Amino acid sequence: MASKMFRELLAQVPADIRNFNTLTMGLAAYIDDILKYRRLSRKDLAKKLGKSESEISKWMNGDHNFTLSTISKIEAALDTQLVTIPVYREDQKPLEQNSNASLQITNKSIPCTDGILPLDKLQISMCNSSKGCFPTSDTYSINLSEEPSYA
Amino acid sequence: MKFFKIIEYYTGRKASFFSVITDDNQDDEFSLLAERLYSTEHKDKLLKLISKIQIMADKTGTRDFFKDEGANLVFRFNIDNDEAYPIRIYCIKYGSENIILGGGGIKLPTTQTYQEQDDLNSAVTLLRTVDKTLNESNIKGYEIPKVLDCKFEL
Repeated sequence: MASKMFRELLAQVPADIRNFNTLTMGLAAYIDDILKYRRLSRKDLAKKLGKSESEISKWMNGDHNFTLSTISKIEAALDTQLVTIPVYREDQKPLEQNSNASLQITNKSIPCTDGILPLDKLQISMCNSSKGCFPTSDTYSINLSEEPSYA
Repeated sequence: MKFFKIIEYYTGRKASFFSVITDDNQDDEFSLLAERLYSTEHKDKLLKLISKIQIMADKTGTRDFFKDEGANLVFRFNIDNDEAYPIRIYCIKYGSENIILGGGGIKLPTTQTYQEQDDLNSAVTLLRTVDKTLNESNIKGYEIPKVLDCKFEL
């Protein structure tokens, strides 16, 4: 639930600001989770990178403009991947502005065993407000690795 | 008799944001501040904060995206990495899931700490009073969603 004013203001947020916040906050949160999961402290990361702990804390405040060089160093230090570059396909069309395209789960009910949702049984369709829904021709996989992602 | 109510501002799957209405005001403290900032040159920073609130609520949780004001649970939002940036917006942070948004203002160049500026000081003081009142009423941070719209004496 959101207050009326919040909804009105949120609708005015420029796309580049929203994207920047998503990237900076998402990266900080993801690094934070990796450290927690691996039982590493910020001090440990600072040591691996030859930085001070206060600098690592500054990175984690959700507003740090990470350079590719810093991202690469963190990826190497934590032996993980923080950023994935999509591969361009020749038949790939640019996303339409405000196309409202989305992925939807189309099967109404999926039997669960012992409360576990069988993800391989999900039927996923690509939906667009003007073109309707159609099953995706590509294979979409859901990565259930131990580390969460903030796509 | 003065009183306050807590209202829901925005709830996502990772965190909830609330605000405070005092006495018979129509708007909550955060909305009053947002309204003031909207018509200034700081509108873009206000929108940046709104976007951050949505991302925290929906995706990342609240984490360390705040600056500690050294006033018990009262924090201020980190809107811009530039330390000299003049907007101050305060909140009370209960764990990682419940945040009460408060007021704030535009820090003057001559102000060093929030105590030196009336509008900033009263925003922090109100939040500390809200926290104290909730404490005295034995309401824990995670119980805030249960006491929405209840009147508390200030």
